[in-house]
Amino acid sequence: MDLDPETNTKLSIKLFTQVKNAKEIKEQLIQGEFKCSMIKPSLILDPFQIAVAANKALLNEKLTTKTVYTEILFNLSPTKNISKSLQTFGIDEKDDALLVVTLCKDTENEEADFLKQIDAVEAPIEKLSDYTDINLIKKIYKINDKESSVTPILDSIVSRIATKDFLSL
Amino acid sequence: MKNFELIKQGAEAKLYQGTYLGKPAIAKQRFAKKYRHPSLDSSLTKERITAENRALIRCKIAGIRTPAVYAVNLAENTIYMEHVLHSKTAKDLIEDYSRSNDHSRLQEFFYHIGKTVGKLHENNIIHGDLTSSNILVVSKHNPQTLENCNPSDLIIVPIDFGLSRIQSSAEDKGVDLYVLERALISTHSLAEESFEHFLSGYQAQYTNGSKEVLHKYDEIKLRGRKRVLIGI
Amino acid sequence: MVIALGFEGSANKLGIGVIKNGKVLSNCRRTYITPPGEGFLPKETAQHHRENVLIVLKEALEESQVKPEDIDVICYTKGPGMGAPLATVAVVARTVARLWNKPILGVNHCIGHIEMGRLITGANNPTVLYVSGGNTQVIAYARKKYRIFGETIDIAVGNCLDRFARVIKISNDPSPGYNIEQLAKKGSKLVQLPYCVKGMDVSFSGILSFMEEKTEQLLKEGYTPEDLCFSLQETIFAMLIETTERALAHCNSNEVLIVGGVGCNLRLQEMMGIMCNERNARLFATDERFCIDNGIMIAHAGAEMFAAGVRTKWQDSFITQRYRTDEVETVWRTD
Repeated sequence: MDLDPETNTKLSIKLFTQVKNAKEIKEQLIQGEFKCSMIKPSLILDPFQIAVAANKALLNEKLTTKTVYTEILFNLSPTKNISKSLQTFGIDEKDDALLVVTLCKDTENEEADFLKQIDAVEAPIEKLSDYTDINLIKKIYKINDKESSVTPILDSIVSRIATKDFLSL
Repeated sequence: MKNFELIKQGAEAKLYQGTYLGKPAIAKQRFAKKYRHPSLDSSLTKERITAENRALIRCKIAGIRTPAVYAVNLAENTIYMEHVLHSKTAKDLIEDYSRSNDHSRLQEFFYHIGKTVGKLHENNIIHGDLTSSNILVVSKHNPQTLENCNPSDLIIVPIDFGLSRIQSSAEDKGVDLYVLERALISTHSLAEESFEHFLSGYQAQYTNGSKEVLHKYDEIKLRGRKRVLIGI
Repeated sequence: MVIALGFEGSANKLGIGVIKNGKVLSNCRRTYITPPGEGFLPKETAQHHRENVLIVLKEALEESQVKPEDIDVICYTKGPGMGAPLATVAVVARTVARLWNKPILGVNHCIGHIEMGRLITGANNPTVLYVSGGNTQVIAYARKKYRIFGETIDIAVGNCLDRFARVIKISNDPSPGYNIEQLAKKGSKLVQLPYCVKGMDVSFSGILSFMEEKTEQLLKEGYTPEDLCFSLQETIFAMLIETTERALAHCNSNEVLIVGGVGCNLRLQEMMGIMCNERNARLFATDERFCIDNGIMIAHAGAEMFAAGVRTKWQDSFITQRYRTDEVETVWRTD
């Protein structure tokens, strides 16, 4: 998926299911061996949600977190607390499904090698909805019924992500 | 801003239409006002982008439909937002009703606008620039068409929150109503007689507080009409 | 063919002029100037007008070389304005109308400014910014009326300038606004002032009270009076241009006309010019002869009304302090 043309960047999102080695994966991720974000699918309603967060990470002149990949997790989160954001949206040792988000420049076309290390089954992204926990999402983004009765939930989520810097929540 | 097409040059922003992250989008770019002192201009622009973003979200939380925000590019002073498809401005709809002499629908529409503004104020959102051009409507049931839509089947989508503030004072809410009333009357020939329907919608929605606001609003109206013109 | 004599005295200017078919034959004026730090009060202003009105009338007639019997209509400012000065001048207008047995016509002061501006500049259907000591309005013509799209919700822009002049004790001669304009040219440091725009409306009372409270402190901090004049002008004029632009966009108009006493400020005209340029609109403005309150604008608007058949009954030839621009039906405009 293309991001803002100004960023010259493509976004790729892969869904892995039946993950067996989440613990090792997480450790390697923390050590910075994987150039990607790994996200809990339960908190993602639609790939567009990640696109908005990634796009924001690339457009911002300054990052709040260490890398563009942690920035995506931070942007996804409605809170400004960095470690809480990474904890909430990042993967857990016990997770059996995860989303892998990579960015590459328009000119490059490299297949990320490290994906092989994930002991799992890659599923089509359309299956994401099987893992989405809508009630948890509504809770985390503080979307009440008054709001969701008129505004599609995805719109509520992406708007919060895009305007996070301006909100004093 | 590649592949975007200019659709409107407003007083302080240019609106472009295109596709952003795969969605039909509007890019609203605030441009520098060369007549304004540069430091005044840039602080106003930042202030208004912030105000707009805050109000858009606050409206959603309050159960008022507003365009979704996709990205904010501060270097370009641009907000990328949802292109509300199959919409019409309240201005055009009021003119449609007026042309066909449909007074009852016109009045009902005013009532619904009143309810939406009441909801804004109930949540302490002062729009700051309410006009019939700054309100969009879309159909509730059949998103494709607005033809022959009853006012009760419309969703009212306020836009253009650059001058908005979060403020609980009855004075500011009263000014908001006064600004809207005058904008409506100066734009639409039938607005004057229909404005009472707006006010009843406003009161019906904003049950605890509209009384005080309407009191202020009457006061503000008098200030305008009866101002002694030479101050000493 | 209409020859009209016009009387204006709604504030501290007393003006009398004669117009013949849109041609200015005379335009005479006296201004009541108060000492620095003081504004003009109704009683003293009326007294000034009373003392000068016959001299100015004589001057206007002599300069125009029109004889009383040639005049078709006597026009006077009916309002809005200060009661006592308005009444003083209206009494003279009524007297000469009786004396020469001419019809009398009461004219709205704001309409006078607009019609005079259109006549002098040739603007056809402009969005009008009317800025003076007593008024701040953004006006556009629609459906047989000059409709007020935006205005001040508290004090007028000229009033804000005049009162600031009193705060820093600037001379009122020839006018406080003129002297602020000259000082502002030498200012450069911008003080951040409250900027208050609500839709097409503006508010100046917050800026004025900010200035009244902070001036002393700002001067101590190293800002010069010139900087303060500069900052005040830059801020309040930006507000006026912004609301005018909004009205312009709203009405899809491509002409802007500035009228009223503050309208002869060249910085305001320059800023408006930049805005118009960006929008491919044309700016029309006049100089102090026609911007500042004068008798000829009353004569001209009156002549237009007279030619369109408007008459004021003798018993209706009173004055009123409050008289909205949008109360007048513009029967003389055919569009």
